[in-house]
Amino acid sequence: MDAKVRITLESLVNRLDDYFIDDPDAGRFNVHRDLFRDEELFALEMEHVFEASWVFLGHESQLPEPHDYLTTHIGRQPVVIMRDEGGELAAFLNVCPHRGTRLYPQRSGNSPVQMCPYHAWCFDSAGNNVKLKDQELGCYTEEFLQGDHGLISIGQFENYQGFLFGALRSEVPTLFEYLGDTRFFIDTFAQQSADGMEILPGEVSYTYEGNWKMQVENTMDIYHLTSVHATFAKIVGERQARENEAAGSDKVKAVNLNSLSGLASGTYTFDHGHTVFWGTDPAKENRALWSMRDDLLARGVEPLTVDWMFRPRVINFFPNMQFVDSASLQLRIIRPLSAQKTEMTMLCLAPKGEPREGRRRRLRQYEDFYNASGIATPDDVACYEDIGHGGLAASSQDWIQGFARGMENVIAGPDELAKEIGINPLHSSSGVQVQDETVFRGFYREWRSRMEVAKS
Amino acid sequence: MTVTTEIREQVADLLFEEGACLDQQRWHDWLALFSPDVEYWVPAWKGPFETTNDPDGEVSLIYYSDRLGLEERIWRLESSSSPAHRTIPRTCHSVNNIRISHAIPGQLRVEANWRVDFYEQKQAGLCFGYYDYLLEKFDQKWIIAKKKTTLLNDCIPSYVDIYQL
Ligand SMILES: [Fe+2]
Repeated sequence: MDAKVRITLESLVNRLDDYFIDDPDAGRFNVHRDLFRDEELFALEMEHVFEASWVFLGHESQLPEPHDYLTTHIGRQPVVIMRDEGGELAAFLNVCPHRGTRLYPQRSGNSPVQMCPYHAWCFDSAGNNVKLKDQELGCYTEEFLQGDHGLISIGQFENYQGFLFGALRSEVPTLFEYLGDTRFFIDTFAQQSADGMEILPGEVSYTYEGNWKMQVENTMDIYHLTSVHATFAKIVGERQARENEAAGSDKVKAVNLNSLSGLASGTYTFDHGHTVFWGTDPAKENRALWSMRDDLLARGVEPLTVDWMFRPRVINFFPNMQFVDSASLQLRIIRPLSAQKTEMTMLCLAPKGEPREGRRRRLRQYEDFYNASGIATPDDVACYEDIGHGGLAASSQDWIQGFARGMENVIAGPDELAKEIGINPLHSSSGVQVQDETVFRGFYREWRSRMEVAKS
Repeated sequence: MTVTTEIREQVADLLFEEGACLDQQRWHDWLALFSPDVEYWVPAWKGPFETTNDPDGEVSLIYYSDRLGLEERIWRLESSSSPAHRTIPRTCHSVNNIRISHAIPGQLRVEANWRVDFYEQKQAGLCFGYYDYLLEKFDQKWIIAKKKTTLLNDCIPSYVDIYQL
C-alpha cells in the first residue's frame, strides 16, 4: 500500500481496514501512521469522533456565580457554558444567531447581558434574546417575529458530580450510560471533599506539534515512565532522601514515589472507548489528600472508593479528557487543532476546604510534573515531536508498532480486582509491574467504530 | 535611600549578566547569582490581565522557595537523560526599562521588561514579560533574593524552561 492512503473521503471510510491490523489471534495489532498525519482523516474524526457524541467541557467550579460563563470548543465548534440568574447551567454555541459573530471573546467572565458587537442583539445569561436592535424599523415578517432568536443550545449538556459534558447532537446515549463503569473511578476524583471539588486558579495551556492521539496514548503509557521521566524520578528520589535525612533516618522510610517495581498495577478498557490505568502507591501518606482521609470515611464515602483515591490512576475519557492522579490531581483537556497540532489545557483539581499545608504540597507536586514549564511533561512533548520529525516524516513507513506488550496477559472481562469493585470492563490486564500497551486497543477500536458510522 | 548612578550601574550589570549566563550556558555562574534561599516564581494567569498571586493556594508555572529547584533543573539539562534537552535552543536575552522601585540600605526592589528570542530546529520563538526582583547586598555584591517572572505569552509552544525566561 502507498505510504499515504490516497483515496477520496467517500471511499475513505470504506477502507478502514487499510488503517488497522486487528488480529489478536495472530498476535497483531497495528495502526497506520496516517491516523497521525492525514488532514482528510482529521476532518472526518472531528465530525465523527469529537462532534458526534459526548466530550468533556469543564468543571462547575469554573463558573461559580450567577451570570458567570466559560468558553470552550466541541471539535471545531466554539461553545459557551453559562450560569443564569437562578444558578442553572446551560451550554450554547458561542455564536450570535444573527450573523454568526463570536459572542463571548474571553475564556471566562461574568456577563448578565451580552451584546453582539456587530448589530447589537443582546442575550441574557439564560441565552434568551432580550433585545433585537431597531426591531420596530426592521419590516420583519410575522413569522420572523414569532421565531426564537435566542442562543442555540447544544444537543445535550449534563453535569456528572461537577464535571460538565456536552454533545453537539441530541441523539446520543445518556451521559450516565456513556460513562458506564468509569463512574466508579470518576467518583474517586469527585468525592474527595464534603464541600465539593474545585479547579484552582491558574489554568496552564500549551500546544505541541503532534496529533491529539499521541496525548491519549501517552497518559495511558506506563512503559515510557522509566525512560522518559528518568530525571524526574531521580530528582524526586533525591528530594525524599534529603527530607528523610532532615527528619532523622529512623523516622521515614525512603520510598521512591515513581518506582513501580514490584508493585501491582493494571489497565481496563470500557465501552465507548474509555480506558483506565491503576497502580499502587507505596507512600500514600505523602499525598496531599492523606490529611483528609479519616474525614472522608467518617462522612460515609464508600471505603472502597476512599481506598482507590490513594492509588495512582488515570481515566482516559473518550475522546478529549484525562483524569490523572499520579501525585496530585490533574484534568488534561485535549483540543485537536490539526492533524499535527494539538492544544492542551491543564486544570488543577483539588478538594475544597483542604488544609493549607496539603494544598501547598499538592501545588508543588502538580507544577513539577504536569506543567509545560515543569520537569516531566516537557519530556513527553519532546518525544511526540520527535515522532513527527521521525516516523511520521518517513513516507516509506506505514505502520506504528507499539501495541504488543501485554498481549499474553490481557483477559476478556473483569479480573479479580474489577470483580471486587463490581465493574465490568471489556478487557483487563493486571499483575506485578505491568507496562501494558494493549490498553490502547480499546481506544482505537472505539475510534474505528465511530468512523464506521460515517459510511451510513 | 538615594539611588546613586553607581547603584544603577551595579543593578543593570547584574541583570545583564544573568541573561548572559543563560545565553552562554554558564549554568553554574547563573546559579551563583541567586541566594541559597531565593524565592523563584513564575506565576500562571487567571484572567486577561491578572496572574495568580498566592503560590500556596493557586497554580504557578514555576515556584521554588529555595535554590535547590534551580539546581535540579541545571542538573537535569546537563544530565543528557532528558528528552526535552536533547537539543536546546540558542537564546538571546534582552533586558530593558530597568526601574529601581524601592531602596533601603542593603536591599533593592528592581523591575524590568524582558524578552528572550530563541532558535531551535530552524525555528525561531519568543517569550516576553516582566521581571520583579528583590536584590540583597551580600559580601559587597548584589545577589538575587527573590525573582518573579511574569510570562505574558503563556500559551506555551511545546514547553519552556529557565533559559527561555
Ligand atoms: Fe510521561
